[in-house]
Amino acid sequence: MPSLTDIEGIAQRLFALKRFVLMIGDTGALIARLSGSRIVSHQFLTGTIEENIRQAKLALSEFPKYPVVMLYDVLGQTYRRDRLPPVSLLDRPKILARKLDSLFPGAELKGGMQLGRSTGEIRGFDYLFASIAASPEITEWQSVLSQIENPACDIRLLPVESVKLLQQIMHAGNGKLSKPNPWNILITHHRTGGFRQIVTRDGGLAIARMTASSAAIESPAEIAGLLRREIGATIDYITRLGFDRTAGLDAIFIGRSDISAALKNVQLPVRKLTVYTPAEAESLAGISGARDDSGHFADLLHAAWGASRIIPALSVWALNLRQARSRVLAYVWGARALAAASLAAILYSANIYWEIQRTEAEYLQLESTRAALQQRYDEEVSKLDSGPMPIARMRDIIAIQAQLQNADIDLNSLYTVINSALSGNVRLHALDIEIDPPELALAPVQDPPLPADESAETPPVEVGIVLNLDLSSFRDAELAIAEADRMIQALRLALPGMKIKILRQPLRILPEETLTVKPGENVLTISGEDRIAKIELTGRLK
Amino acid sequence: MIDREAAQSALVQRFAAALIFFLAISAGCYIYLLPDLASFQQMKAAANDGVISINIQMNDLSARKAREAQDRNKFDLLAGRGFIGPQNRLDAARILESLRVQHRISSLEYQIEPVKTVTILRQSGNSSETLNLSEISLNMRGFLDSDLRNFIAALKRGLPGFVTITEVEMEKISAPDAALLSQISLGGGSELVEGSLKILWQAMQDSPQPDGS
Repeated sequence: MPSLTDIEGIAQRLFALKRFVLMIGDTGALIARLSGSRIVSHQFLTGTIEENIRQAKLALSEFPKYPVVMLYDVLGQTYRRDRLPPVSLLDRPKILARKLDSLFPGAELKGGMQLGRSTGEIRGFDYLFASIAASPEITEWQSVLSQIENPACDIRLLPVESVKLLQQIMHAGNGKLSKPNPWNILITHHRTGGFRQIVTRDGGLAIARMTASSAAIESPAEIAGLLRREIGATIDYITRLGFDRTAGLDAIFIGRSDISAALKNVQLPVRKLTVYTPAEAESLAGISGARDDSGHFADLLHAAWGASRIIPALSVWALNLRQARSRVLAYVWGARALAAASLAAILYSANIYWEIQRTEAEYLQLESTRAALQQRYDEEVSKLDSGPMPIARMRDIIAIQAQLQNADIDLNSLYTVINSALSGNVRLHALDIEIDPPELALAPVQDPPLPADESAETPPVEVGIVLNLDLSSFRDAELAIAEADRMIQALRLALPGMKIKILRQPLRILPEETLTVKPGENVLTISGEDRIAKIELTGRLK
Repeated sequence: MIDREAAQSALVQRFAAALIFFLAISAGCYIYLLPDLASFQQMKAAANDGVISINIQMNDLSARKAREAQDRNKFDLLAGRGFIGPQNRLDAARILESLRVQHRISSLEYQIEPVKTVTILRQSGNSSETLNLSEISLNMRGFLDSDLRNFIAALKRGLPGFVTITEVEMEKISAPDAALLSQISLGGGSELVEGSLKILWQAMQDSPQPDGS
């Protein structure tokens, strides 16, 4: 996940904010024009303060729209670490302002940065408060801001802003994977001051010291000796803050290469010393154009780093001026954002307009297709009943014919059934068939209509059949009766849906008949008309 | 002295102008263009639905036409079989005579009753169809019962329209002996079976009766 610094770096490259940085030191000043984190031009101001201010105004007037960031690298900086009570975000600026007034009464340039939640029992937030002590030089430089056309952007402190420069160079030099030492020191050689020491503990500012350059000390060995003593003194200070001498201090020196070589020889009281020229350091910090003519000083590196940050670590500019600047920036960026949004809205509107044109064309096309289809449909519908007879009547006639067909009895199959029931000793003497055809009716109109022959129901067909059987081949009445009974059984099996009964037996043995036997007559011997049996079948054949 | 207030005022004016411009474009977009687009999209969707609906109706119509074509074919077939139209009694007499000869019916006596019109009502509604119905009674004599049966079957097939048999009687009138069978085979001899037949000869009227008649 990208850190805030990474996002800020991306924003810097993306927007390439153009601004001036006016870095004020104890022995001079530096004015540089930035484009993002690239220094486009610079000028060291090492004359009298009046001359420096005049030259600075002249340089600034070349690009009067560019905002100015002032970066102080003077001796008179005061730092305090203190706690703010846990108040709401809205109340915090007021409390902060009150705290600053109580800590630095009368100071014009003061500010604070939140370090994190307080540890221990008392809730609140730890803050680092800083101010610049008022001096005639500071007052004169501050008055420049009201005399120039360029808008003031911010007033920052170099040691606070460059804490992250130290981290960046350490990470870039050592690699992010190596375990960092909690205590680190950055020593840089400045043309506008001297030797700046920035000591950090766990990524936060611990102390900052400045050692002024002296014309009397010129040789690298002498400078290295001076720095050795100064770093020893720094270690004495930080030991009071909890520094463990056995753990050691990692140091980075940025400056002249001969001084770097001398420093390596004098055995600085640090665990590890890494030296860079300003040219090497700028590439590690992701800055360009930070090399001065001599290539010895790190002023430009600090100026570019401290002023190019979009969000400062700690601003000492007055809160009301900061808020006014924020309003101006809000208007500027708001207008830009609105212009961009307007452009997007114009493109969106154009896209919608094009979409409307396309949709309208598609709609008209569909509408004409629909109209053509409707016309075709109407034509087809008008053709439907254009025959000699309405289709509904045709269907009625087909249905009637189907009813007749369904009610029709297939006599051939009936003959076959009767034939198969007859034995070789029996002949069919007569056959009477009466068929009662059912009444015809038209089915109700269906929508959609069923196929005409499917709509015809099969009506029940009542049939009456009488069979006259000739049993003259039988002499024995009992056998003839048995044959008639067998025939009935056979017909019942073949026509299970019909009622079958015997109307006449070879002998008058049926319950409703009178059996008369005369003396001497053998009742079991049959002859003549008695050799007839009648079987009646009634019911539904379908 | 730098006129910062004037510069700030210009900034505010620029911001306000940008805001008004943005709002104007947004308003134009949301108040005019988007509703217009939505309206056209709705109309397009409605037209599309209309096209789909008509296509479905066309498919239904095709299916209906196919069913109707099938029914027209059946109707034409029935019309070809004489089920629609008047009954031609002269044709019927010719057919009966032809069948009599064909099936060795030695004696045929028949009577075609006057045409009755039967109104076939619909189960619901008041529309109806009219059936022309002639009752025909036939008395016949022949040599074999199969001749009578074949004659009846052929009559059922041969008469135009639709024939429904209502009554059949067949009876042996004498038992065949060798001499009689020999005479029959030579084209002579007397009949062995007699029968009677009642049929309904039916055909539809080709123009419908007025409703309720």
